Parts: sequence; structure tokens; C-alpha cells
Amino acid sequence: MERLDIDQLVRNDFSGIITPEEQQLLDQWIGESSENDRYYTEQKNLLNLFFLRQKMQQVDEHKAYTKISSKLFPKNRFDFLIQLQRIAAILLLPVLIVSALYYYSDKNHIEQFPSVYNTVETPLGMRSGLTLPDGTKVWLNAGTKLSYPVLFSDQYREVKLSGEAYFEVKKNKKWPFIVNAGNMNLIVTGTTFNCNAYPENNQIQTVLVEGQVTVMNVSATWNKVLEPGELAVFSRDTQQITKIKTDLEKYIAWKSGKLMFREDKMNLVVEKLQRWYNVDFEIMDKEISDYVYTATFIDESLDQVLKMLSLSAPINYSVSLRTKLEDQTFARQIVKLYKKKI
Amino acid sequence: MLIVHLFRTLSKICIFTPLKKVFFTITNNINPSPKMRVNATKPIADKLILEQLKNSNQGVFEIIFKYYYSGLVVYADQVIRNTPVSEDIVQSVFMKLWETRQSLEIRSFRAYLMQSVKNRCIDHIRSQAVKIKYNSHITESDQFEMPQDLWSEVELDELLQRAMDKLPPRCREIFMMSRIDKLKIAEIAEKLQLSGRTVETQISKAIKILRVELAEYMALFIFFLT
Repeated sequence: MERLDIDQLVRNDFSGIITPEEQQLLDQWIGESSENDRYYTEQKNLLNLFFLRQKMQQVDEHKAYTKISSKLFPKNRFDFLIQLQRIAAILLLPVLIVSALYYYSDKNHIEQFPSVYNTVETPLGMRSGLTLPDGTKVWLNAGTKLSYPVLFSDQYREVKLSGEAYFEVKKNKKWPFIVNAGNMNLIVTGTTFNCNAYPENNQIQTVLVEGQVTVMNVSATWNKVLEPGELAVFSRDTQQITKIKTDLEKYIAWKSGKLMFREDKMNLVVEKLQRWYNVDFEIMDKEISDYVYTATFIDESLDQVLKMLSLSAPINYSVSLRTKLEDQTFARQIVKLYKKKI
Repeated sequence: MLIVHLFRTLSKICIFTPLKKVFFTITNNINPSPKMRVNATKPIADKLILEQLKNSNQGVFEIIFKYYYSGLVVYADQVIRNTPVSEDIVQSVFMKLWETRQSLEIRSFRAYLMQSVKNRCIDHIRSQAVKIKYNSHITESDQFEMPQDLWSEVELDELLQRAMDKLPPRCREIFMMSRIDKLKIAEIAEKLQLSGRTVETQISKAIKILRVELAEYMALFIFFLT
């Protein structure tokens, strides 16, 4: 038998596909000599080497190592956790930065906005009203300036007043409302009151309609608590506060468009009329200043008011003509008051 | 060869710098003779490995594991004939190696691993025999044979590759188709447009050459799979 055929038989034998006839042939050939036997053995060994290698290639030692190391080194799992923590930390970092930015920018908003003030100003002869960011309603009399922060600080609500204003403060006990009127502060929570604080006047008059108001000087050395229906008069010179019971009507009538005088001296009447009608008064005879006057005007024109005035008091008046200024606006009219000569 | 492999792996990992230096000097001293008997691992390498194991060097443990694992599985599987069971046996041997690393006295890891796997195989077969009440002769340990040699996958790869490189190209191609791709003579003949006889001749020629190339290793194999 040829070697080639023997090789084929050995391979078939090794692969297990040898037929009984072939097996018989092979056995016979092997038995012929010890040399044949050795050849057969070696041939099979050679095939076996390739077979072993193939089997080894099918074994996944990496997978096996992962399995065994997870049992042997539980620290590996810990390492994995650390890795996870690192990943988490990295992922968290932008979140932290963004939230920190948000947080601080928010803070900045609150801290910066109070320094940004809105100022509302009513010209002479005009009145207006507005609602503050916290819901407080304010009426402004003629020639009044009110400054308030775009956003109130979270500790208190503070406004600056120069002139006369009527407040209906939105109630919030934990958020006091402060009116800074030059040298005097009004501290309130939820109240309705009128504050007359024209800078040219020596007195600041505050009347309380309802609720409670604490009036104090800037240095907080003096303070008075007002009850409804009371008037507090703050003297800028002496820094003293005095309070008396009074008729509120007179002080808050302006809000509803009424001009009300109750036994008021003529210089006060004149002062009010000046603002109300945006005119200048000149009292030509000193005596007139001491006249006491009572009247209520509703929607009357300056002429009508002056007529009434001249009828009820010994007063004559003259009104200057409207003169045009260089910039094509009209100059303020000047009203001169004379003592009526009987 | 293990040292070379260790060195290669280590230089890839590059984390055990002092160890790498040591291995580097060792590998330089090795005479890379192709005829070197694989089973004669240099004792110095084993000594180093043991030293590192006792230091709980997981990297060295991993290298040893991956170096011997598939070889040991195939080794065990020659008697167990159930690859998952063989894998379990080999894994348990390695686990014991790690757990008892502090008290180990090993001269040759190859011999140690072979013996450990062998013992576990015997235990397994015995327990199986008891289980199935297989009243047979194999309960005596002498009576079943284990291969005399342990090949690691890397070693076998290199050995066969070196031998195969000696084959003429056409001859190698046909041989690989028959042995590695497991194609039948007729299939190879059809694919290459050759007669079946030519294919057989080429395979025989290949085996002839390989026999010469691998002569030294062939004699070592006395264990058969069928």
C-alpha cells in the first residue's frame, strides 16, 4: 500500500470518519512492521498538535480571567466603583458650574437691582398714580418725585419721597415698607397714609388713614407711633416729631382731585395753589399772608378759584399774560394778590 | 518562551517597571534556540514569578493565568471531555494558587499547574464515577493517562507556525485548508481546481516536512484523543 493512502487512512482515523474496511486495512498495515507502527504514531501526533492548537484557540482565557479575578479581587469591583465615581464627578462638574453660575447670578440680581431705581416725577399742576412692584399703590401730588428700586430687597421695601404722596401699602408683616422723606423715615407694614414732604417746607406732615405707621428721624433717636386719624408733624430744623388728632379729609382730598382748605393761612393756600395750577403767586401786601381761609374746590379753573378767593376775602388779584419764551414754551403765569382797598 | 511572553506582555502593560527591567536582562541572556524544550522553563523566571505572586502582584498573576489557561483547559479536557468542566477545574487551580500564594514553594509553575490540574481531574472523574455508580477500573489513578506535556497556546502557536513556515507556499495552503479550515480533500480539490490525488500528495508532502520539523516534539505525544 502506498504512503499516500496510509496518510489518508491515518487522517480519517484521526478525524473519526474511518470506515470499518479502512480500519482493517490500517490495522493490518500497522501490524506489518514496528516502523509502520512508529510512522502511524508520529503521524497521529502531528495531527494532534494541530488539533490541540485549534482547541486552545477556542478557549477564551480573557473571559475566564475576568470571571476569576472578580472572585479573587473584590477590590476590582471597588475600582470599578471608583471609576464610576470619577465618571460621575466629571459629569457632575458642568452641572455644578452651571448651577453655581445660576446661584451667583441670581444673588447678583437681588443685590444689584435695589441699586437700580425708578424715579417717577409729576410736574407742577399734574397728579398721577402708580403701582409699585410689590403691589403698593401710590398717588403722587403735583411736583412730587418718588424713587423706588426696580426690585425691592428681600429684607424691606424702601422708597424715597420728595413731595406729597398717598400710599396704600400692600400688607406684608415680614416685609416692612419704608418711606424715606429726606430727614425722616416712615416705617409701615400694611397701611394707608398720606405723606407731605415737599423739600421746600420745613415740616413733613404725615396722616394715617388706617393701619399703623412709625415715624422716626433718620438717626432713629426719635420715633412716634401713629394711630389712624392722627397727624405727625416732623420739623426738619429741630428733628422733633409732634402728633395731634386731626381731620384727615383735608390732607387726602387732593387724591380725589379736590383742593380743600380748612382755616388755613393764606401762605399755605398760595403754596398749594401754586403747585396745583403751576403758577407763581406773589403776595404784594404782607397782611394777606395771615388771612385764614376755608374752601373746597373741585375741578375749578385757576380763574374761578381766584374769583372765589376775591369774593370771600378782601383780596384783589392780577394775572400776568402768558408770555412766550425763546424756546416757544409759555412762561409760568404770575398771580399777584393785593389787599382790597375799601 | 514564557519569559519572552511575559516580557512582551509586560512591555505592553508597562506598569511593573522594576520587574520589566529584570525580565529584560533575563530575556537578553536567553539563547532563543528553536529546539529549546518548552517544558524546561527557566527556574529563574519561575522564581521571579513566585516572588511577585507573594507580593500579591495581580499583574503577574494575570500574565501566568492567560499564558497557561487555554493550554491547561485543553490538557484537562483530554480526560474530562467536557470543556466547561475543564475550565472550572483549571480556574479552581488558579484560585487556589492565588489564595495560597504566601505559603507556596514552587520550583516550576508548569509542573505545579500540570500536577494540580491532573489531581483535580482525577478527583473529578472519581466523583463522577461514584455518582453514576460506574463500577469501573478508572477509579485507580494510575489507570488513566494524562498527557506528559503541557503546551501553552502561545508555545504551540509559535512551534507550529515555525514548522509551517518551512512548507512551500502551495503545499502550506493546501495543508492549512485541510487541517485548519477542516476541508475535505474533495472540497479542496474543487476549490483549487486540482485533482483529489494532487491535493492528497500535497498534504502528504506537508506532513512529511512537518514531521521532520517537529520530530523532537512528536515523540513526546503518547496520548491520543480517540
